[in-house]
Amino acid sequence: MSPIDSIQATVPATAGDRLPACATAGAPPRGIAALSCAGVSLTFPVFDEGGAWRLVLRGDLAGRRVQVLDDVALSVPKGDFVGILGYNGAGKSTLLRVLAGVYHSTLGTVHRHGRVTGLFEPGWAGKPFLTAREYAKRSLQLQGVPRARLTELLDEIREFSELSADFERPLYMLSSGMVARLYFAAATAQPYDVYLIDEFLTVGDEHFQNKCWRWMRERLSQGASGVLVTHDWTKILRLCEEAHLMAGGRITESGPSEEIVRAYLNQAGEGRTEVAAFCPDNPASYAARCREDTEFCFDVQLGEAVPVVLGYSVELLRAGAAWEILLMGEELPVADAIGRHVVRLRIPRLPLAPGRYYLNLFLKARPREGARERSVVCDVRSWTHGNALTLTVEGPVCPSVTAVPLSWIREGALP
Amino acid sequence: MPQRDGGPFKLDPRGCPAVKPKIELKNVSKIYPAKTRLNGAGTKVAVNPMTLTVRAGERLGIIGPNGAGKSTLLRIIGGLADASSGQIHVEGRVTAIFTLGLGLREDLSGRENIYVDGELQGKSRAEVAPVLDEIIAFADIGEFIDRPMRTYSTGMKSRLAFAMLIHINPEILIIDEALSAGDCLFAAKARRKMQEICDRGMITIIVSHTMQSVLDLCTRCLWMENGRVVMDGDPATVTRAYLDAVRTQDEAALAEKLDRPLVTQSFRPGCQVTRLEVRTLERLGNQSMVFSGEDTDVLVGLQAEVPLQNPQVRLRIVRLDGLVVVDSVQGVPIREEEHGLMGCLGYRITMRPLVLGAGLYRAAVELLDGWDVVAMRSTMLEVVTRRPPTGGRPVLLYPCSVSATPIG
Repeated sequence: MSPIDSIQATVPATAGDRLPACATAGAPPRGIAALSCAGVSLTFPVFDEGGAWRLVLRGDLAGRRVQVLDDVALSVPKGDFVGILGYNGAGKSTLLRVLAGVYHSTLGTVHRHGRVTGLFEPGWAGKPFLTAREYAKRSLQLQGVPRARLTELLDEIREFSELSADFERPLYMLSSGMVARLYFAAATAQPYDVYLIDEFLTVGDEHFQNKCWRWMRERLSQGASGVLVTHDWTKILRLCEEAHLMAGGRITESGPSEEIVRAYLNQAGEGRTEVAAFCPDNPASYAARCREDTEFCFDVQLGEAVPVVLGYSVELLRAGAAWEILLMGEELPVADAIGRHVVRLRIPRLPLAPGRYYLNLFLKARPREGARERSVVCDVRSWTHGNALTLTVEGPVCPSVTAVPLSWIREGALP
Repeated sequence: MPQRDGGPFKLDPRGCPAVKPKIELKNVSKIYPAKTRLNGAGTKVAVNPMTLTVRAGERLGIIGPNGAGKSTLLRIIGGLADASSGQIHVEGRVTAIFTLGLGLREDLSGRENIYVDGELQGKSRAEVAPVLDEIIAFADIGEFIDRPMRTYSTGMKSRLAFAMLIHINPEILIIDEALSAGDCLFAAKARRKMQEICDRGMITIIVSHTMQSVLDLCTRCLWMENGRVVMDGDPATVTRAYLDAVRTQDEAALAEKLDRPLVTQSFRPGCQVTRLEVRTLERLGNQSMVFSGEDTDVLVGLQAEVPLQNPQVRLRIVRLDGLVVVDSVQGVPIREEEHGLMGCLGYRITMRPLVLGAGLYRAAVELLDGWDVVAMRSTMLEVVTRRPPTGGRPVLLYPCSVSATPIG
């Protein structure tokens, strides 16, 4: 069984019978939605003068208002995570808080099925003089955990957050990474049905992030659903099959997360193709065989006599299950003379398991010796630009994502 | 008692002081006091007495593991924390990312807050006015610039704060890498700008976990651990020494960090994987940390006291997030006279060079009889790269070559 299969097995729905992740305001979502909202609008009053007292005293609320959310409709199918991308100020965090019930929307409805929790920015939701244990206890009590289960959950939090002796220390003595770990452990000690996550899987060092990630996958395989808001689009590719792009308080685009990430990055059209470009008659797809010496051949046109370098990457992308850069090369010198060149990119004993991949190619112009400016991107073939090359690798079925050449040498009986 | 002079409290009457920035610390330490509560938590030494001088024109990078005292040191230099002992002498205005946002008025608009922040930094309205448009253009938050600060989203606040920080000509600039808010477009813009500041800034201090950014941005590098300066010198030497030290770090400490370092299981009596060692040719002995690009061998020992009919041995290397990177099965030759495997057997699996990308892995060797796993042994493996690629983190660091021939 390949790792991809095992990951996909945790995502029950298949393409054929999937529910649309986004239902338009008019059409109610079919089937079961763990969380849905329709026609949600939210306005905040704006006071340029007078300050907070006007808010408190509820005086003149008819003044200027700013529209933060505008007719948002969203549906999260049971057992799925839906991603939301958008630039700063698009209304992502506000939408999440409306879904969680922290803010009440001015118009529209929100339906929640099951227990919903929000993992918003890691904060000091307590006094710094509380010890980590006291903080965790308070957090659990606020979440309504019965007294009888406290001890058991506190032990789990202590173990998950890896604070060991620091668990008895006050928060002000812990580093910010430790506090974030504690906060995460306390917020996720109990299982919920729906998770609303705002930039949360980025706490702690690599080891802890992996742990959070495994926890997330486990919850997903047990049927949890949720919404993931993050600027780390790679996380959305790995966790969500469907995503939405927000701008100005509206959902401007919905669809498979690969397309939404492409729209979010919005990189197409960049680059100085007059300096160097891939020729338009290059092949759009390549085929290769696993563990065999491979050559990718394509033409490049140089319009200026500058040193041009090539970068390449081979990416595995199955939205909602996996996104990995498998191979990568940077700053590979190509040519520095005007004209058309045949470029051959050779990879010895191609270490890729059979399957379909994206081959991305980048051309950059290097500044001349001694110049202060940096390399300039000239032309790109990449899935983020919507023009990636596809690579099909054939060969015997391989249970791992790579087919790294290993040699096994028999040795005598070792002690 | 600690003494502090100079620093952000000293304002030149003419507005902008023309002194060369300088930082001098003498025997500065920071000890967090014992707690006042009865369940007392004792004291914690964040920074041991240390002496440090940073001269004008230096770009200092600070590296070290979590809890080394890096942030505490920066807070002492920035005047946010008092030292427990020693003398601090800071000449020049300190601009630190963690001091920004303090003193901003929620009720004022972004535009007005730029003036307020300018005054906090010792700039008059007349001095701020010429760069005002630049700041607003860099922050790029549209009409919100004339709205009160409390209507801003978190991302917008950090964009404005960063824009203010970099346009007031900092004399001593402190950047804590942990602060990386903003969407993808802004992050790229901010990186370019930081490079520019480093090129003209007078003293820049950067705390970083990525060796590459220290190598790119700094002229001097400080390695801290447990509140002490371990090494101080040029970035190339210090970062290399740091990585080597991380590598030679006590194996037990690493083993403790990684859950269950070595697991041995046997599912059939008499069958065992007796050995699983990762070795590099440069260093002797078992390694739990190896460098990508170095020749690496995995040594495997197998033992079967009962005959196995269809013996095979499998090596699996799984990244900690569950991605199976290597899964290789090797048939074990059967000795004719025994019709099966009996006794001991050894393998050397060579990876020359090791092509795994940086990360934590679990390496496991399984002894199979047909499809049944009869014994297994696994260990944790950390792969480190000296110069990781800048464009991403590939699963493999694999060689390739490029050639080009002109046509016509």
